[in-house]
Amino acid sequence: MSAAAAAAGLVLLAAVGACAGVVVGAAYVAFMNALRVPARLAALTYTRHMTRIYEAAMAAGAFLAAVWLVFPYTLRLAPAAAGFVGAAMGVYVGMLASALAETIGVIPVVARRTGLGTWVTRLIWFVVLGKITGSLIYWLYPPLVP
Amino acid sequence: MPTVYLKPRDSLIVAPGEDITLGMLAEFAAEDHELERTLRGQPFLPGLTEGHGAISVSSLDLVRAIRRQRQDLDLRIVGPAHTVVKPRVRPNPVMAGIWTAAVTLLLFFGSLMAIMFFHADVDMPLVHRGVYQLVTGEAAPRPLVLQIPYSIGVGVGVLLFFNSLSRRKPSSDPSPLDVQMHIYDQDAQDYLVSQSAAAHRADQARQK
Repeated sequence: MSAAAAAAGLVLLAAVGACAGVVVGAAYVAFMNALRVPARLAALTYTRHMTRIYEAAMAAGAFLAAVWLVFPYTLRLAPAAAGFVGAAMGVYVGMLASALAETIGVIPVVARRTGLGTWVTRLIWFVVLGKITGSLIYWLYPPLVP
Repeated sequence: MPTVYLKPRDSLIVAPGEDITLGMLAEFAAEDHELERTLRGQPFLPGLTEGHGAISVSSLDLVRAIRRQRQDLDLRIVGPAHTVVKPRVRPNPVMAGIWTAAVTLLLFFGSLMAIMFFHADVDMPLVHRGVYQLVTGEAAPRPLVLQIPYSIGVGVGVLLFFNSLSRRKPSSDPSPLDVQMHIYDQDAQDYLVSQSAAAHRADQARQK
């Protein structure tokens, strides 16, 4: 009796876990899609017909990160490999941050209020410099990193 | 009865003081080119003063203006029902410089702080240590070999998103920022048109 109850409990837990996984996975992809990050990458590289592969890449990335939570495997590569991973993470975060800022639509308002018009698009370079400087200061100045 | 097609423009920016003709407000198409030319040249409004607010011209106002001159035309309107007319604003170069500097500083320090807030908020140091361990198998409290390329990557990502890297013609693929500015302008114009329509209805109600 108690063994059956335990088994039922495990099945229930597994079902709850699977549901949670589906919801989180769907939410992640929906969020990225709403921000049009993969769409922009495909448009920029003229590879609109490769979206199936990009979908698979996003799913695989999220899946491997989830697996790593359970089994903390390691690849044992040289530290330089971590540099490549870091650059890819950075580009992704940069696109994500820009997409978020753009969705809120602050910059057109700034352009209107200041009367600068399309000039503002060129000032994006200062956003870029600000992001790089801010990020470097954050990592290089020890008191900032907990 | 000659048929004349007229297509009002969405918006029009005029030099202050310049008289506004029908040809500036709408495109005309008719069998008779001479007729087209006279209609285009017909004055509609005296010029706007420099600081004048935007006005909205209904396509029916255009029809009325033409009817006053010629009653023998079959007028067909194709296109928007309103044209927003604004006097051109010539920016003061000194103020433009000050504004540019102010916006530059705002964007620079704003982005700088925002990325730090983000790192602290999502506990990015923990993630970086985890990823470093995942890749190399060793623990490092401050994996700078990952973090410095990451920082440069953040900037590259912003550039990629706004499509500022390529020097291509704007026709190929507009930057999301260009699209956003366009949507913003369009929304502002919609608002002006609906406001002037409401004012018009109020006027008519008062006259009754």
